[in-house]
This record gives sequence, structure tokens and C-alpha cells, in this order.
Amino acid sequence: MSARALTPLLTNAQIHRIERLRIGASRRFTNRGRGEHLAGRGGASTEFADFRDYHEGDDIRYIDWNIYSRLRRPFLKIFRTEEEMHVVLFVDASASMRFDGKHGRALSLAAAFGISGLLAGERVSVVTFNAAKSDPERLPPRSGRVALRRLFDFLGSEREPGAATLDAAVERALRLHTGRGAALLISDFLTPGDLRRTFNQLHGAGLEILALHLHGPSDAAPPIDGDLRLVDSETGDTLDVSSSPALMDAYHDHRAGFLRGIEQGARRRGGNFLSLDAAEDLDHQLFDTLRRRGWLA
Amino acid sequence: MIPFGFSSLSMAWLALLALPLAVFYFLKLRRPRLEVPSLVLWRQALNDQRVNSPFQRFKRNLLLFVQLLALLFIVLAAMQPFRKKGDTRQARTPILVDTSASMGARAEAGGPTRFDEAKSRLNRRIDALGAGEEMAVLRFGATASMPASFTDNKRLLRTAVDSLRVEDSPGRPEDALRLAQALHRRGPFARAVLLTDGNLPPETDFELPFAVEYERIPPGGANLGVTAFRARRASTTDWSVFVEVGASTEGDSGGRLEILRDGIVVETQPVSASVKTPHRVTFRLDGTTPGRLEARLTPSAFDSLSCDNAAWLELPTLRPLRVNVEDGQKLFQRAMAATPGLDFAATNAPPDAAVTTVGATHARAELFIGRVPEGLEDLLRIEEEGTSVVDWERNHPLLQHVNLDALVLNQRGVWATNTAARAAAELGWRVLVHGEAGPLMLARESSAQATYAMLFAPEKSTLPYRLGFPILCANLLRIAEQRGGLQEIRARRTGPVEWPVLPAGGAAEWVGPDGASIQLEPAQGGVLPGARAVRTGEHRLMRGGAEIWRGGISLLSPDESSLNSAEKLAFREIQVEAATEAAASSDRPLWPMLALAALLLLCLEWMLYQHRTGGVS
Repeated sequence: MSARALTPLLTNAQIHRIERLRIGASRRFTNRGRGEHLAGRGGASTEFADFRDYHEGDDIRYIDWNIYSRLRRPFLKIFRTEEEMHVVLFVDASASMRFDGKHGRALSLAAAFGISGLLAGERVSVVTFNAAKSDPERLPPRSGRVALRRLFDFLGSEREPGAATLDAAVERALRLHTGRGAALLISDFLTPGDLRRTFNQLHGAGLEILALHLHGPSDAAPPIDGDLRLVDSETGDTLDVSSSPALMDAYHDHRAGFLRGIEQGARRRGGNFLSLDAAEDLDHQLFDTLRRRGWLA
Repeated sequence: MIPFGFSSLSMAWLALLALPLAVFYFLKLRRPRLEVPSLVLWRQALNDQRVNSPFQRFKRNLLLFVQLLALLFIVLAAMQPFRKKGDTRQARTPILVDTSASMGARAEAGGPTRFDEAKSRLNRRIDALGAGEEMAVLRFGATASMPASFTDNKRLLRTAVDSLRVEDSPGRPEDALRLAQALHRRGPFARAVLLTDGNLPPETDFELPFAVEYERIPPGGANLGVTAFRARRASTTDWSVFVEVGASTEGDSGGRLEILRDGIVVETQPVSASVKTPHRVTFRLDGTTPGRLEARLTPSAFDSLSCDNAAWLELPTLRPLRVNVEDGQKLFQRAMAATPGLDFAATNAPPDAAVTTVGATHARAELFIGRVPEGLEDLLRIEEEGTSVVDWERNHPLLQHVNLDALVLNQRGVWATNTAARAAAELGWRVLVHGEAGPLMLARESSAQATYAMLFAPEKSTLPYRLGFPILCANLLRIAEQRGGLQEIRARRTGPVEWPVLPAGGAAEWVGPDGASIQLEPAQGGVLPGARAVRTGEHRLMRGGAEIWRGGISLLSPDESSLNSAEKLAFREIQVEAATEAAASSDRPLWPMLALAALLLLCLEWMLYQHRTGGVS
């Protein structure tokens, strides 16, 4: 008899496999609090980093006596510091994410990164944004296995789709944010705002940018045929178009340029960018694509 | 000069339909709504496309543009534009259409006849008829008629054109020109159009009060036809039959000629003829019994005209000429006795020739001697005075080779009054021999009888002692032979039909070779009303379901069979040249092309609509 699923977002088997993974943030934005995330500078963890000459005032407990006995010179052993990292999961819950199962996949991926963070001793907070004028919903920073239930409940709660924009949501969320770490943005990035400013804000707040783009078939190959009135799912705005090869070529060109711009913006701020198809298999994304790209290690 | 014009410019108001069209277009254009995640990328793509394609806004309303273009073409078509072919338009134009036999010729087997081509051109002219223009349709074959007087009603004109049929008869344009002249008197016009294949007499005795536009239709292909069919008395028992076969080609055209007598082939000969050398066939046939001859021609190659491939000839029984000469006219008896094969003793039948001093003899040719004919008693008298001949009609059949110079007479005819000569002419008499004081011989000729009056007794003149006297007697006998059908028999041709006098009874039904029938009501004495036969073939008269008369009617026209096409037609001193086809055609109407373009645009609009919306459910 199989055990009851902990969350509809992930299977228990997936959760079990995710527990062994860690968020692969490349930059060392960490907090002073002790954690499992290795800091770049020397620390007091058990993981050896380097030797250096002893200087007066150093803790003699870290002198390598074996070397001293051979060379008659004191060298100090340097250990890496294991510091706590604040992982902020920004989950786009706007109306545009309700197409092609993007929202569900975003929640699943957020849950996976949340589990990985919590079980690695990181502080994990979650921000979801769906409405344009209201503040984004926020799960305050948590850590440890005990926070898993709160994480699943927060992510699994129903939200009305709205016209939230990523830049506004990030700006509002950062007002309450403390600590350095990484910011995982899970969104289709179909927002009218300026993402470069958003990336600057995140970088300025000490958060490594991990931009995870989700797309579906209606984004990659929109079903445009004949004279149509397109309706924006978020704003309700309309646009009359007549399908033509030229128009479709222009759309695809702009989409490619749009994604390229997000990637360049993220990389310019030391971040990373990855585009995933919401229709792709979740296991493949979690344990193959994200691992090979180093997002989960 | 602007090369285009509009026949119905007032229809331009239809262009106002563009307004409701545009309104309805935008009201009707309900685009299907499609919800997309975001318009961010679409707005950018659309803006980019507009920048790169300045006609994008135009492309968005391509359907409206196509609809407006189709409406423009429809409006232009309704305005009936035409391309001017020079200054040829006039308010009233009579069209004289040739319906003679040669118009039934075809250029190739199964192809249209010349007449079909003429009707086609005529219909094009009707289509091109503009506002304020009228047209009249006149047809002519051997005679002429006017199926449609001047009208601008195109339906009437087309009905008149549809009613036109080719006649198996020669083409004579004089009557049609006279009809056109009558129309010209009622309302003048500058030009009449003569639509013909050019198979007309090279000179027409008609003074044109208007110009004639001679629009010539190209002649048909090769033709071979029977152009003459007659029989001449060869002896008292035999007919000498003569058949002539003509052709329209410069080179020889061949065929086979069969002569049937009462349905049985009596003569078969191969024939070969060209336009300059017709083929002539002569043979003898027994004349002791009557018979119906049919000459049937079978061309060996394509033959463009079929109505001249057969001819019919009715052969009567050969018999001696019945002559009745009054007992007292010994001079005439002796002069005529020299002619062989005469029957002076026939009493049962009316004579063919008669010489009398008494009165009517009912002979086909009768000669009154020394008396004033009945009806002229008040106008003419005979005096016992000497006189001489002043002049005579030397070419009259009765006086051919008769020299009356220095003839001495002791009797003479004298007009009773100054107006008597005119009064006698009104009664049908004409003077053959003029004396010093009045007529010496008179003649009155009709289709039934030839009556001659000699106003002097031959024995009171020197005529019996002249060589001309027996010649005069022989001429009288020849006239009687001709009128009695004993000298030469000619085949009946299309035209007026000589009906036999019917016995008392009801109406008769005239059945033509094509099965068409006409009721004929005989007048008093069983004389049927005159009628014209326009179809070659065997015609019948029926009464009570029984055939009472049968006769074959033939074309027998060398001109028609030759399919000759004259380059120029002469009308007295005016010569008219055949116009080229381009010059002959009227202003070219453009509305069919515009209507077709509108139809194609509507089809294109439908295709675009289907393509854009994925079809209509």
C-alpha cells in the first residue's frame, strides 16, 4: 500500500529524490548564520580549504602540527565556512501562466527548489504574485524539514489569476526581504515591465538571479489562422491581427529576442537563465535538465 | 479624341453603393476572439511588421478593397463603356442582312454557316447599341422584308434576328434598299449597313440616298451544285435533257451526277467542274409518257452548300402542236402547213395556236386578223385607206426576222381619240407595228395567254408576198410551243409558285420539303393565292389528306452556287468597297470584360474569406 502523497505538486518518490539535491547557486551570497551552504571565505567547517602562514593571534588549534614537526614552521589550516543562504522563490501566478499548464509546473518546480533548500538548511521564502494592485503573497523565510508542510500548503492554495507584473511584485517583495542568497524567478516573463531594473534590484539585494522561464505550445506556436481578435488574458486588451507568414515570422523573431534579452540581463548580473517547456516531463526536468545545468546539484 | 465612351453614364450613381458596402463590411467583420497569454509580443511584432510593410494597413482590409474593386467593375459595366472605332456611331442605323442561299454555306464541315456569322455580328451590333441609338433590321433574298423597324429595344431586335432564316433563293438587294429608302424618307440617316457574303449582282440599279457600309462576311468553302436543268423538244417523241453543274473553286471539283426518272436512275455520270468551266450533261429521254426527273449531285469532297445538290424537272408528254386556222385564212394555212408535226384537226382540246377573224379562241397564242379586239371598239377603228409601216418592234418574238419595210397596206388602224392610245395601254395592249395614222399590230400578253391583233387583212397588203410572212407564222407557232410547254421545259425555281387550278372544294394545304404547312384558300374558279417557295425540295398540295399536286422546286442559280464574293458593289455610279472586318465592326463594348472581371474578383474575395476564416460552417 502506497503512502499518502505529501502534496499534489510532487510525488513522494520525487520528493525523496529531491531531498538529496542541493540548490546549485554559483555565487556565494550567504548569510552569517551557520548553515550547510559553504561560504567562499575561511570558516570552521570540517571541509579543508587551504594552508597559510601562521600569524600572531591566530587560533593555535588550527596549526597543522605534522607540518610543523617537519618544517619547524607553523602553518595554519583553513576550513570552509558553512553559512546559511536565503532562497527566495518568486512564483508567477498571473493569468498568462494559466495557459498550457505553466502555473502548475511553476508550483511543482517551486516546491522542488523549496524542498531542496529547506532540507539543505537554507532559509526559504516564497513570493507568489497574481493581482496587479495587491501586494504579492509571501511565505516568510523558513528553514528545516518542519517547514515543508507550510511550504506545500502555501504553494497549494488557490489564487485568482490576475494581471500581476513581475517587476512590481519583486519590488514589493524586496521591501520585506532580508538576507543574501538566491532568487529563483519562475515565470513566463510575459510582462510589460522592465526586467533589467528588476534584475538590478535583485542583485542589489544580494540575491543571485536564477531566471527559470516556462513556456507552452501557445507561446511557441500560437494557433493564429485568419482574421482574429486577440484578447490579452491578463488585461483584457484586444488586438486585431490577420495571420500571415510575415506576421508569424515577426512574432517568432521578437520572442527569440525577448528571451535572449532576459538571459543577457540575468547573466549580466551574475545570474543564470533557463527556459523549460511546461509540457515536458517533470522528472526529466528535475533530475536531468536542472541537474545537468547545475541548478540542482 | 478619347478612345472610350459610356453608353449609360447615368448609371454612375451606382458608385454610391460603395458607402453602404464599406459600412456593412465593418459591421459584418466580426473577428473570432482568441485569448492569448499576453499581447506583449504581438504588439511588438505587429508594430515591427507595420514598419517593415507600409501596405500592412491596406492588407488588413484586403477583403474590403477587393469588394470595392468588384463594385467598381460592376458600376463601370453598368455604365456600358465602349471602345470607339472611329466616328461611326449614328442615331439610326438600318442593317440589311443577306438571307440568300449562299449565306447558308459553311467554311468547313460542321462549322457555322455564313448566316450564323452574320447573326453573330448582328447581335454584337445590338449589344453595342448605345443610349439614343436605334436600329432597324431588314432582310433580303429574292425579295425583302423588315423584321424590325427602327427601335432601341434590344429584345425586339434580338427576336427579329432570331426569326431570320436563310432562303434557298438568289440575293437581290434592290427591294431592301427601297425599304431602307422609305425609312430614310421618314427619318434620315447617313449610313446603312449591308451585311452579306458579297454574292450579289455586281451592279444594282438603285440610286443611293445614303451611304452604304458594305460589311462582307468571308465566303464559304468549296461548293458543287446543279445550276441548270431543262429539257428541249428534240423530236416528236424525245426530250433532250440538259444539266449543268457549276463549282465555286478555281480548280476542278468532282462528284457524281444521277438522273432519276420517277425514282429510277436513268443516267449516272461523273462530273468535274470549276468556277470557270461548268460541267454540262446532255442526254435524250423518251417523251411519249410524262415523268418527274430529279438530278441528284453527290460531291466527292466537302460541299459547303447542300440546297443546290438536287433539282427537279416535270416532263409532260410530247404531242403535236394543236393549230386552229379559220377556214378563210388560206394564206396562213399554207404558210403553216410547211411546219412538220402540227395537228390542224384537233377538236377535243383547246388549240395551242389560233388564227381567226371572229373572236376569242382560248388558245395560248392567238392572232386576230383584220378586226379590232374586244374592248377596244371605242378606241380604235379600221379604215379602208392606204398606209405604210412607220416602225415596229423588231425584237418582239412575233416579229423577229420579219422585215416590214416598204410594206403596202390598204387597211389601217386609226385611234378614235387622242387619248385612245393611253387608254389601250391601260387595258394591257401595246403597239407592235406603228402605221402612219395609227397602230397596225397590237399585242397583249399575260402568263396565261398571248393575244395579237393584225389591224389589216393580209390579202389587202403586200405581206403575203414577202419573206417575212411565213417567218411571222413560224414565230407565232414557236410562241405557242413555248407557252404550251412543248418546246422547252425548265425546272421550277424558288420564288413565286404557279399553282394548278384546283377543282371545286375546300382549302388546300401546302406542305413544304421541311414539313411546314400553310393553308391556302382557293378563290373563285379554283385559283390558289400566290405564294413564294423559299425552300428547295418537293412541295405538295394536300386536300382532305390526299395529295393533289407535287412539284420539285430547285435553286438553279449559277451565282449562288459559285459563292462569288464581290470586292466592290456598284450602285449606279457609286461604288462601295467591302470593309475590312475591323472597320466593319462597331464600337467594341467593354461591359462583358468588366462583368467578367467583377465575377473573378468576387471569386477571389470568396477565396480570401475562406482562407482567412477557415471556411464558413
